[in-house]
Amino acid sequence: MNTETIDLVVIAAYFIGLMIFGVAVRRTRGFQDYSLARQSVPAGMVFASLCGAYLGPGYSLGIAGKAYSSGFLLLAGWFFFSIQTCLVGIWMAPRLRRFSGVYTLGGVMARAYGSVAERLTGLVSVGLCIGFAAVLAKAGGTILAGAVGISLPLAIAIITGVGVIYAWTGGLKSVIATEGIQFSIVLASASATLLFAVPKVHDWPSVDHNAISLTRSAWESTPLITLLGMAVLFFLGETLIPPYANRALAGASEGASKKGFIWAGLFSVIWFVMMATAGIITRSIAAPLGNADSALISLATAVLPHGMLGLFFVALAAIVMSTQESLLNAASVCMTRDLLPPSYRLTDRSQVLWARGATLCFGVLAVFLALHAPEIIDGLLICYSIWAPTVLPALVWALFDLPTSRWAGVGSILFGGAGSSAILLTGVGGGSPTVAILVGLVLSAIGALIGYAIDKIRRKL
Amino acid sequence: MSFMLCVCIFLPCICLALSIITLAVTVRYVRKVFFNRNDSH
Repeated sequence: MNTETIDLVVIAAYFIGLMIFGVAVRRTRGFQDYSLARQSVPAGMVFASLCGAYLGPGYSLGIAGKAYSSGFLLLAGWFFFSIQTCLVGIWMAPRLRRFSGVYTLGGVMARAYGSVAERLTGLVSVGLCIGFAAVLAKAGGTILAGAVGISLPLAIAIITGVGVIYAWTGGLKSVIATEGIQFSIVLASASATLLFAVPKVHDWPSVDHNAISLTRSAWESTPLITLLGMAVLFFLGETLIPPYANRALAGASEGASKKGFIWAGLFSVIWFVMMATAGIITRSIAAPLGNADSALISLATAVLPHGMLGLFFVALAAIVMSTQESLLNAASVCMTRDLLPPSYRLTDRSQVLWARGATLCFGVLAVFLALHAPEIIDGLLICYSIWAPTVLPALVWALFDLPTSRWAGVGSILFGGAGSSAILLTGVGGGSPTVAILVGLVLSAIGALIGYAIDKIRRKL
Repeated sequence: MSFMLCVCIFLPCICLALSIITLAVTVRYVRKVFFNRNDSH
């Protein structure tokens, strides 16, 4: 890639700065401090860290790449993520924050459905977070390896390792603080890329025409069912996944959690339009691309001066690391709270030690899995289609305080998970993630009814 | 005026402003949480 010494200096300074920050924030005052930042995160930081957590490679490079080939059409699908985040902010984040003494979604499930549901939720949460982290490690490693010319395994180890340092030392509060900084860098460098591109385009009316014709031809060639499938995926796939739920729980108040989610949902609309615009104008500036996913990088390489290009690559690393560290932190907290046997009556200090150990282990595991992980979009879609039907229905039911029973929750999780996994593994219905989510949701409802019936029979006996 | 040109100027300006605000909020949070300094007064 077209990087010079000044760019490499910027990239190296960023990673060294993060490591120093990791050492500076090593003091932790107990498990609540480590896992939920003492539930004192203001609305502005809930917003910034949530944006940092959801802005991964898919919502930056992925959107620019899709817009490069199909214009603004797929914005319709991504906007469902924005709607979902706002709705979670209005209805679910405040309800989640209301649970006292709860550290994870498993804790919410334990209150509603008992310990079996808690363990299953913990298992799915930990597996999903490690899977997500591995997919992101591969994406980030590929970017870093291309930018500085090192091997992929080393790049994956650097991207994951530096983030693990501050997630390991300071827990959620240091993850949230670095996400604020990383989000700020990402915003500044994405904005600079578009502003520097403005004078490079000489014929703006033809860019408008290009956007309209790309969108129209994509509309004519894309079946409506594909668009509806995307809407379902983006509406349900990432709803209250563990790192987002942690931010709802960590808010200073119900109002802080609510505002943070609503602002993040509204901001995502601006971000999606900006990334799609970047993808479209790449056609007018850069040479034709073999791989559409490299549209944003090609645009930045074509318009940014050296030094700022280094900052752009830092932003790409930040996009990956902020999401990845949230996932590793969430996985370690879920492991400590939901999966350790009840006979382990851990002191506050030993819970912190367990969580720190788990963060390190999951970081190492993510590096190894990353070497065998699927491509970013495929990997994310698999994770989405497992999460939505497995934990989400029972969780939403519990959050709305509807009547519950022990085995209804367990049945919903088991049937939903089995349904979506079966579709993904057997390839029925093309193995499509949308089909997996829809089938999983139907089976989840059936599982809940069966579980409810079992509970009723047991009570009569 | 071109729609795409408006988007290319208007949205990045909003994001740049948001970037500065976010940085300020983060610095305030870091000072308060890690260095026990309260900026409220």
